[in-house]
Amino acid sequence: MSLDSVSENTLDLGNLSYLTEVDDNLCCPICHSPLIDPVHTKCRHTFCSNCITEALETSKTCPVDRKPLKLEDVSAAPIMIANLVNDLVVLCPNSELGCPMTCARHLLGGHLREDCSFVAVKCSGCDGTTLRKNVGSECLHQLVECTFCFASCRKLDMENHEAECPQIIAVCSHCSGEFTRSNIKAHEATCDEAIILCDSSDVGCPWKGARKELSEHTRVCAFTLLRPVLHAHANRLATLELENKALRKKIDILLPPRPPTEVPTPSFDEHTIQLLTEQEHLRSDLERLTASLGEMEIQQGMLLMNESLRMKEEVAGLRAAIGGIRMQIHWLMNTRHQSVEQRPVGGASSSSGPQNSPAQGGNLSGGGALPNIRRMTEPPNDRVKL
Amino acid sequence: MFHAKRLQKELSKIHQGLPPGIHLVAANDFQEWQMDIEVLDENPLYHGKTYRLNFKFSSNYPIEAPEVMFIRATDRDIPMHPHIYSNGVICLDLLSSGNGWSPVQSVESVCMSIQSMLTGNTKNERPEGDDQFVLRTNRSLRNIRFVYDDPTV
Repeated sequence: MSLDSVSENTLDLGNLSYLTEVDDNLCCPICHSPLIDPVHTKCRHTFCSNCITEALETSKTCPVDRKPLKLEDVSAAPIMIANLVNDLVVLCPNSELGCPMTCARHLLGGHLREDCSFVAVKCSGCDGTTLRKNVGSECLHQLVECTFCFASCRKLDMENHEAECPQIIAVCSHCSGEFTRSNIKAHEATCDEAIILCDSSDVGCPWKGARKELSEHTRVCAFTLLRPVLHAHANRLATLELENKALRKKIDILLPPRPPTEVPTPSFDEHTIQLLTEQEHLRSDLERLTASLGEMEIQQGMLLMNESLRMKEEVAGLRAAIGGIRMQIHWLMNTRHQSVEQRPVGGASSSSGPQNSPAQGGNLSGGGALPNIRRMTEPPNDRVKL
Repeated sequence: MFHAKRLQKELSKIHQGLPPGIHLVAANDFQEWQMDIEVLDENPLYHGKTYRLNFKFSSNYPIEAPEVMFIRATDRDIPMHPHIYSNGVICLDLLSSGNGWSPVQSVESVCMSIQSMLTGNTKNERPEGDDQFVLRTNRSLRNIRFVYDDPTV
């Protein structure tokens, strides 16, 4: 067994696992563990008795305040402190062997002495030792025979032996048949139910199935049929590759060293690259210019159109004005003609005009208004003439 | 065994947290650990730099002091200090058993002491006789006997 059982005599209080987090004030400043057998100094610092004894062997000062200190100045700490640390709950040191016990630290000795099932004690049947839990049953040190391989071993070790006994029955994972452990490997290599790959899986057959179905598959497997051809091809390829390699080597030997022929090429390449980039630049420039030219054309067209539209509208307006003026002139001329024609007949006809003017003054004023209107219409007339 | 248990406790405390400017680099066994320290204030001598300390524990730790010295590594140099030799040896009474060392000290407290020793320094110099010292000592730190005469550190 890899883990040693701890008994009351081998109990090391410094090596215990505490169930709860222990307050720092209950820990020794030297070992940082809960105080064991606490003592205090005349400068009133508390340590484990072993820790301070060891520390004083090296330096005759108190480790905390560095005041001079002798072993005689160290005495047992107040019982309250001892009780506080002794009541801390710990795991049984045999917990890793399986003991579930937790108890106050000072009760641990009694537990190991009386109760703990995992303490090694004298075997009842022979001179060996055995765990307390096994005392009372038969002696575990007597030799027994393995029921499978007939080898003899101690009863104590039987469990370990059974885990590796070669004669023990194991079950094949494929066909569920039972075989001894030593034969199972050999069986699995021939088991009918074992899942295997096609013999031609090396040339690419993806088939996978129970061994007993293999012969059936092999009959129809295209890869198996082609196998000789594929192998021949593979062989030829291999020889060709070899030959190719040899030839390449020969070429390498025969050809003049390359560097001198390669030297000018990079410069040529460089030159070409330079030219190409320049060309590329020029092309992009050209594209840009074309684009801007097109834009400008459109702008120009828009401007021209706007301008001519405006002009057209103006001309239309003028034409309309001229039409209006012409009509007015026409009308005025008409009225004038009429009045000229009516005058010789007699100015007495007071109801001469259609405007039923009340007096001649009205005619006069009509006559007076005429030049006025003419004057008003003069400028457009002039313009039209222009 | 005793020193391993104590170091185990220190390690679990370190994993819970360290003071600012102190970092654990490696603690793969209970013989040697590496720690990084930075000086946190604006001391121009050490500003923005990190230094690596190597701790060597004897089986008698913490009764016996650990061997502590600066080591070089990538991006880690030996700090300039009138009590630190150019091979990384630190002249500090705290680190000498029988002098300033006390078993109450821990890796963390030693790091803090050295950190404050750097913080308080203003001299950009090595100890007197650094060259000869470096030639003479081939890492047998235990045999070095310092005379602690400078009360300012």
